[in-house]
This record gives sequence, C-alpha cells and structure tokens, in this order.
Amino acid sequence: MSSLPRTIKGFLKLGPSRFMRQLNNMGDTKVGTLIGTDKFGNKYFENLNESYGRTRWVQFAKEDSFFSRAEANASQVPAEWHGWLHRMLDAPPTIDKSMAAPKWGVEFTENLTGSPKAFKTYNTTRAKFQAWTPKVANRA
Amino acid sequence: MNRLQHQHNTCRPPRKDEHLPTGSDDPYMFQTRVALPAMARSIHISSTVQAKNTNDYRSNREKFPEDDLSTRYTPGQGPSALDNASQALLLTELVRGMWVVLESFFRPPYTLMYPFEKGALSPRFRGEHALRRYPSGEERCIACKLCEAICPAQAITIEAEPREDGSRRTTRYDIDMTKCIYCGFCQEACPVDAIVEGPNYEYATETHEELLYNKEKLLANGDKWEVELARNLEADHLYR
Repeated sequence: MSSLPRTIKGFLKLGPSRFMRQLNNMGDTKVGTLIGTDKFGNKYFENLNESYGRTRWVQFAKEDSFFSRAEANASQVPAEWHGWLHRMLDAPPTIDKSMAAPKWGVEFTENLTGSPKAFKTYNTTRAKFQAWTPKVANRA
Repeated sequence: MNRLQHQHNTCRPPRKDEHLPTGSDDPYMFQTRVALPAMARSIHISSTVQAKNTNDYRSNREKFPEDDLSTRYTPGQGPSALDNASQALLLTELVRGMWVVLESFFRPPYTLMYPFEKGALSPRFRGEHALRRYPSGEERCIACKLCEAICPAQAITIEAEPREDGSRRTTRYDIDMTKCIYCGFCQEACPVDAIVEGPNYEYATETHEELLYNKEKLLANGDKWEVELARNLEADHLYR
C-alpha cells in the first residue's frame, strides 16, 4: 500500500476504474505518460518524477480483473520492450527503429511452463545403436 | 591530545555548573577552546574520511556530537536521575520511534512493484542461454566445442556431424540449465558469438525436465531474443 496523499492523487488522476485496477494489480497508484503498446497489448508507461528505479512500468494486457485472475506473467514483456523496461536502453522501440525483430525470428512467447505447450526435452541425434533383427538362415 | 579533552573541545560548550579539567581561572582557556577544535579536525581528517565508509558511530563523532553525548557520559556529567526517570516514564523512545513510522507513512514507497516495474539490468547480464543465427538465418554454431571444453560445471554436451551440404554442424547441443553456474565462460569462449547468455531470467519452470535444454530450444531462444541479444553485444563490442 502506498502513501495516503499519493493514493488520493492517483484516484483523482486515474479515475475510479483504473484506480481500482491498479490497486488490485500493482498495489499502488501510478500516473505516467503512455510510451507505447506492444503487439500483445501491454502498455508501457514512464514518469520521471517517480523515485529512482520506479520510473518505467508495464500495464499487462492480461492484468487481473474481476473476470480473470493470474493470467499476467512477468515473462510477457517481448524482447523489443524488455531492454527499455529494464532500463538498459534510453529509447523505447517506438523511437529506436533498430529494435525490430529479424524476419526469421519466431513469435515471442511467454514462459509456458505448467501449460500443455511447456518445453519437453528430446534427443536431437539419431540413435547410436540399431537393434539387430536376427535373420534365420534356411536349413539345407 | 587525550580523548576527554577532545570531546570537551569539539562537542559542545560546557554547562555553567560543569567543572572543566582546564580550570576556569586559566587565562589561556579561551584560546585553547577556540584553537583546539580546528586542531582536532586537522588531526581527525582520517576519521572523517573513514566516516563515509563505515557505520561506526565513533568515527562519526565530529559529525554528530550529540550522538556521542547521548551514548557516552563522562562521569558526573550525564543527565540526572530525574531526567532519566522522566524520559523512561513518559516513553519518549516509543513516541520517537512511532514518529518515524508516521513520517514514512506519508512518503512515497520505495518498493519495486515487480513484475510491473523491473530492476535495472546490464547489457552484460548473464541469464538464459541462446544460440544465435547469422542475419541470413544460418545458425552460427560450428561445433568447435570450445564452450563444452571450458564449461566448469560440464553442463554442455555437444555432438557434431557434417551436414548434407558438407558443413560441420552440431547434431546435439544440450545444456543442463540446472548444472549451469552462469559464469559466462561459454559465451567468452565462442569464436562466432553463437552461444550467448541472454537478458532473460524469467524462465523458471515447474519441472526439472523443462530445464534440460536441447539445440532446438536454444535456437528458439535465440530467435525470440535476437533483437536484444544483438543490441547487448553491440553495447559491449568496445570491450571485447
């Protein structure tokens, strides 16, 4: 829970719906400028007046609501936005056009553990030993 | 200069009823009391330098004389029994402690609200492994096995064969992520920047089996993260 004046300010700036959503998800009210939206619908915000380390944040497309719970996941931030959110890069990919996935790149996926699509390891080599199928020679 | 004298001269002016060791009839008393703090400061330069790096209250004595006075009394100069009793009975320590709590109630929180806000990362961060490709889409790894040789945890297993077109490639590139110690030697050993440790650390799994990465998984990681992997290598290229 955040401080009282901050929470009141957040309510006035965000409006009741967004305010409740943020308290449900983040447990804090944060007001900032929308920097961009990625292809999954996650929204990225920035407010440089926040305390150090809390200036950039993400509002997940699958955030908790009355109808859905626990679908947001930390690994849903795609590679293009990951560097900006982790403060490795100054410019977001909306400005820095070099942060675009290569043509042969695959669709970004979240961490799929626990789901049917979870990675299950397998052997990538061909079998080292072939089973011997005995052939019985005809008796004379 | 002994410590008692030092305390007297740097910390605070003496009370009226207090008996100073120098004696009030000393004609040079005024001079000494002005000159000694400066001397003490010059002598204790090292202690003020030290004060930046330590929590030892003794080295902060010049900076916070009141702390020193409140914790160490020269015999006969501390607060009276009545002072002590009133402090204890009125619970001033409790009230002061609760005041700190009240203050922080009105301050913005310092907590980082993960996963909505995330900690800063270096471009050199060594997280989940990935096998990269050339911009043409050709895989970089040439199966030289340097990473396998240098891996101190022996987490990497490689088998190689010539491909149909005759180029030497790996048929098996397994990393046991539960053996790996994330030292980054593999990416340092790699002559073609094929194996890298990416910026991702959010790959915790429910089972052990999911962490036994094979070549396909590593290549898929590279395809997923290539934008950022390339950018991080670029950021580091001056130091390589």
